[in-house]
Amino acid sequence: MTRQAGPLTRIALLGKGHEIWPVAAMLAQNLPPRIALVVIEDAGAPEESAALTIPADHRFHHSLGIAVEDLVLRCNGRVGLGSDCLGWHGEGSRFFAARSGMLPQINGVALHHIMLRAALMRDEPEKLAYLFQPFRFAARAAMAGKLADPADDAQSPLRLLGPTVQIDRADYAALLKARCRAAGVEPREGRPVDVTREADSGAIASVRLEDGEDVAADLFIDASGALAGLAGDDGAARFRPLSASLAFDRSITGPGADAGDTGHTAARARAGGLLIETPLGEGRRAELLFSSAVMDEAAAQALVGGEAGSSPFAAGHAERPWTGNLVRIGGAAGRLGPYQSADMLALYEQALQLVEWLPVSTAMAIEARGYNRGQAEAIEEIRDFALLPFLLNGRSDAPWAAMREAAPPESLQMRIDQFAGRGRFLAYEHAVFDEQSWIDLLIGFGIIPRRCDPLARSLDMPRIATILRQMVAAFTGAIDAMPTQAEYRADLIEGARAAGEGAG
Amino acid sequence: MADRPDRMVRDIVIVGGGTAGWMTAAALVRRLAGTGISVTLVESAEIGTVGVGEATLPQIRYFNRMLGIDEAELMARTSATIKLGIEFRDWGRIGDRYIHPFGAHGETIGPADFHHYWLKENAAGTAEPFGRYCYPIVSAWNDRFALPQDDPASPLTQFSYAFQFDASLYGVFLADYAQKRGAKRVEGKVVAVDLDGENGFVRSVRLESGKEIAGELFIDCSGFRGLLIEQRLATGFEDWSDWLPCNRAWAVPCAIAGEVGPYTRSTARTGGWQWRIPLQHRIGNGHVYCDRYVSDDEALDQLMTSLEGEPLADPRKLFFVAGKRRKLWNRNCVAIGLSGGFLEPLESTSIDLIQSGIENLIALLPEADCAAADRDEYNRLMDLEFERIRDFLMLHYVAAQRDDAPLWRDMRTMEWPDSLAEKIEAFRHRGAVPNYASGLFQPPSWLSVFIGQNIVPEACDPRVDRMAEADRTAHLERVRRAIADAVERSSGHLAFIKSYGAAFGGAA
Repeated sequence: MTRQAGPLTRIALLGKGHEIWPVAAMLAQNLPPRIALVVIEDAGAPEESAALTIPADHRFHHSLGIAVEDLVLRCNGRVGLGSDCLGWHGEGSRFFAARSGMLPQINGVALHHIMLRAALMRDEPEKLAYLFQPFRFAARAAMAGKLADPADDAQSPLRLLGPTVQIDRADYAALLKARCRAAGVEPREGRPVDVTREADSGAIASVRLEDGEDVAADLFIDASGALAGLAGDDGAARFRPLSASLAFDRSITGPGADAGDTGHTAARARAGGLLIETPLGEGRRAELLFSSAVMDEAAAQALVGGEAGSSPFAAGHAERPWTGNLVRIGGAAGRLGPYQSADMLALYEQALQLVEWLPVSTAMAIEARGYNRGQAEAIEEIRDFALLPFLLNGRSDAPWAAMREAAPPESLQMRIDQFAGRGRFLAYEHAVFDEQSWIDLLIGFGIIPRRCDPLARSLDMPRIATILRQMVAAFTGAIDAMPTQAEYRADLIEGARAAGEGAG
Repeated sequence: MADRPDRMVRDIVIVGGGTAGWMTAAALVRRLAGTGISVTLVESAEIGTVGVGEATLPQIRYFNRMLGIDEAELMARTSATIKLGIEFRDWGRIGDRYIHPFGAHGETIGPADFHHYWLKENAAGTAEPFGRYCYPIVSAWNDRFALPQDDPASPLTQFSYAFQFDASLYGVFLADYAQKRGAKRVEGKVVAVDLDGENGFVRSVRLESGKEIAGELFIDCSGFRGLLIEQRLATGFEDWSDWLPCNRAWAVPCAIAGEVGPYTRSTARTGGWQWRIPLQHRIGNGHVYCDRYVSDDEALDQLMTSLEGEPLADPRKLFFVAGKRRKLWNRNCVAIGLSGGFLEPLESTSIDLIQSGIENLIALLPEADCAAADRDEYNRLMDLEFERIRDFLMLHYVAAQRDDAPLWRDMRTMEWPDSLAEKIEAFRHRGAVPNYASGLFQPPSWLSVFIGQNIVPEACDPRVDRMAEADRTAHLERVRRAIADAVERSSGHLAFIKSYGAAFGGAA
């Protein structure tokens, strides 16, 4: 049932605001004048209050010309350096997951290999993470409450920084919606109740909304899951569940109950759930993934504060999100959860790749194949990065202990094996995350390579020790000289205001 | 899990000199300096090397840099010229010519890739040929060369270059380099390979003299015959000759009579193709063909009658089969060079495959037990590299429109590997080019062949239509002009290599 090639003139995008506006903004910026964009916003369900922690310099924002100042000022944002992972290896344990540029090598040998060699020479391989910690510049800065912009200077430790920005999801959707409106995209409200298919090709011809109106389009992009459900070809999308390795079945959000605030997003593993608390410019948001077998609704609600009830959560993703003339995005393409804001990172990849594969006509099988392949590669890395801490957690309570027993996806298993064997990190095709961030995460979550790079054996360790001490001292000096997170924020707001006045 | 020096590889034995053997030895002594690992290379003066590989890819410069080799010295010692790309003649249709350059076409002028704007302009009939928008191509065609400037403000002059050199002199140069840094050369012919009774690992090689050389890791650089990997370990060969049928070549050097341009030339013939590689002192020539389509005598005749100068040696005949070893790393033996596989030299990939083999080996240098995880990963990486190169080489044949000989018709109608068919289909449909992070040939390479061989996409990226026609025309013209001006300002190729101490043996 191949569709004949005809001109593509209309794209319909459906779903909830926080998922459709990022994609609509990207489309509005990229569609040629001959293609109209119809946005159908599901306003029926209230938006859950939630927060995001995303790379400040993500190429999605570059592409749209959104600066970090916009995010801070308009999305109740706060700049940070990553997420603090607390309790993943039992109460009291801590690992700060910071974005990080590549650490310098010494005589061609990566630092983690040098520290591994040091640990092996002492016959204390379990000390690797401890010995490596002083070199985790960005994490140390974050834990010291310091913050700065990355430097371009190859000699400066500041080049290792990769700031993140903590923002309110609803404000972010509003910012992007405003941009779409400025570009002439007016949303209408509605929810799909039925679909009509073309008789010959089987392609979706139109979607009927609750109010009885039919919306015709050549390409449907669905974030709601409602259209995908009505289309009934989810079998072709091949859903892959991840509930064994991310074994929480409910999610709940709220304004946060605990008053403690380190300035950074905290991902707290606790009995029966994972609580993510995100400090914002003003106030904070909390999101909890929990297991209903272990924690009741009232306890969950108490942890996040607020009144809202929980909703079901099932981790997984479609392996072929684009079937026929329907592209599943956002929640319709899967859920990877709020840890590392994986769902938003996935949505960025969907938006960016959609515009790369905008169909040239109504015959779009080649676009679907290209998009699905690109998605598979990008989602694989985001999924693996977000799953790794669950799979390698060190807790003994339910359901954490069981998650450790789940089989990792093949792509992740291969990387864990390569790292465990010889400390080598095998890069992913699109390198969504920095290699150093991966290496830090693997070490931080307890992978100790059995042996180090043979080249590390060529190093004169006593001489290297001096170089390493100097490096750590330089890192410490640079951190001492950095502004505090509050000073940084004040400067940024002041600078943005001054620039605004200058421009005005 | 303590530091276990007892498990380390202590002695690495390379069997075979030649380009592969000495490149491997040079890289290992450089990278393993101070580890206490010994590197021994066994070669016999009686056994000749193939040594016709003369054209390289830019990646060789990273290799030389890793070794700390000065480029001017290298060029002087290997009689090298500069290579900016490969000119393909008569590949699309007879009379066509295009260059596959070491650099991209155009620059970023909008959200879609540059070539989509060109496609649109070309469809409107107002574009200049695609090559005019690519600095290294214009430079090559004007016989000019200047070192790339590392100026981010000037994307038009961002390109790379490689060398055309005498590969046997490169081997000699590296032999000297490696031995000065501790590689041990042993002269002798290997007559036996002894295996471990338990795990089947190669334990030692025995020479005619009776001398035995033992090691924990063996690198087979013995050429096509694969003395260790095949003759002793019976690893097996994956034959790709259905896809790349050329199986023979004649090679002959001649005196320089034409230009010494900064590029290699490949001219399609009736049963294969012919190379022309200008060095400082001679032109390397060869005719790669399939004996099903053209006889040996006819192939030789086609080659000899098209030489531009006096032949400088008797023509040599080479036999080969396209394909690769089933495992490039088997037990404790790694095959690097022709022992590992062969892909015809259409895109000068032989030396690059040696380099990949070496780099992956260093990245995965094993302990004495050669863990399966290391071997499997090495084989996965090398298989991917071989397959991607294979697809790219095939593209030249299957995208040809020639109808004058059965070879070309057969290549077009055969069943292509899916990986290739999909790439061609995506380009035909919408001008999409393969974009993978790891792999030798990146989008600019695929593009130059697609467009150079007249594959015209049915549509281009829709985002192109966000730009007004007049703006598009102005952007393209600005890019073309900037390239032409930059080339105009550069010096001649010969003047450049003379400044590097070149000594010319020919009429040039």
